[in-house]
Amino acid sequence: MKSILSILFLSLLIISCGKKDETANNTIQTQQQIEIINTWVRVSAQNMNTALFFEVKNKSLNPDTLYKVTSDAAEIIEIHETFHHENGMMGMRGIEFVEVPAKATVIFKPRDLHVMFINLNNDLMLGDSVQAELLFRKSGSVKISAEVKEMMKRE
Amino acid sequence: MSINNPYLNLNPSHNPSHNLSHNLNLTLIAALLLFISCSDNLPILDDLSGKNYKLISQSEFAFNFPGDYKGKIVVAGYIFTNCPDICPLTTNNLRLIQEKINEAGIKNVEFAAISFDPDVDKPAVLKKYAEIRRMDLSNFTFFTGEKNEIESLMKDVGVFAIPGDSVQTSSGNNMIFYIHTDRISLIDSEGRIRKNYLGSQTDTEEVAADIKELSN
Repeated sequence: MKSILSILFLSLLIISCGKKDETANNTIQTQQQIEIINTWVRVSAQNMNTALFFEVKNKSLNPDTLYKVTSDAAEIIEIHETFHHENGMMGMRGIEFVEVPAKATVIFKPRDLHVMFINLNNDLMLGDSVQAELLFRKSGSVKISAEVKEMMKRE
Repeated sequence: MSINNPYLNLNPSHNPSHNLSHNLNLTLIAALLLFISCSDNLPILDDLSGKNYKLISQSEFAFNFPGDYKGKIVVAGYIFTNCPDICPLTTNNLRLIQEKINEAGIKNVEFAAISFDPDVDKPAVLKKYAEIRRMDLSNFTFFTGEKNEIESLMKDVGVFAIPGDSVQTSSGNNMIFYIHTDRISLIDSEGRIRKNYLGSQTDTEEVAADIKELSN
């Protein structure tokens, strides 16, 4: 009886360890499928707002979805898009998610998609960096560091 | 030898009426040349010269716009500081034009960023907005004002701002994100709007060239 229990315990241990390794490997693999490059945040002041920009490269054969961004830099963080309104007016609105097609790159850039940081906790001065976590439905969490920049010469 | 041909007068001074006509022609040509040299290709879009909007600068100085700028060319952009994308681009474009104009040594040009969200954009807010961006405020001013003054000004310059999405912060602050006209205006030294540009996408070279044309 004892030997049976021992074998059962060992089997469960092997199975559980195997699952853990498999999950870990999957996580690493899926994270590598998403690459975030050209990250930057606009200079802005405490209690004001700013925008985070980057490029998402999806190297996998499957589409993925960015659905949330978190950071300690601001009280509220939302995924936004800038849009054209009538008579040359411009606005922006929150969106729930952004799909990144397979083998494609989605660019978050001025006058377009951006991650809005609302009510900044601190001044974001030139040369500072902001840490953020991008959450994808398939690939999970991707941590990034974005440099605080002045405006580019032509954005 | 005398010449009797009535159609040929080699000595016009002998004909007073012809002399007067000749002088008149010269005067007209001179006036035309003067007009050509002073004119430009920028039509008058709106005339604000008879109006004075009472604004307040980021340093809390009272200002009559555009009257207090009389004699100076003004490049004005319209912004709100809670805007994370379009308005920082407009502000940056104003800065880029300012750099070009200052580098070119063109004097008598002022830059103004006027908020259409006076409930939020108090002078201290505008001051912080300018400081964090390290703006050169030697000839650049951020403006706010009483709501009715701002509304009148925006109406007259054709800038619209309507409330869009909003968020509530933990401190109970309701932050409104406006859908708004994306604009920079070029105003001549007489307070007349001569050209409008897309504020966030302004071709800074174009504006600099237009300023040079107006300043000639």
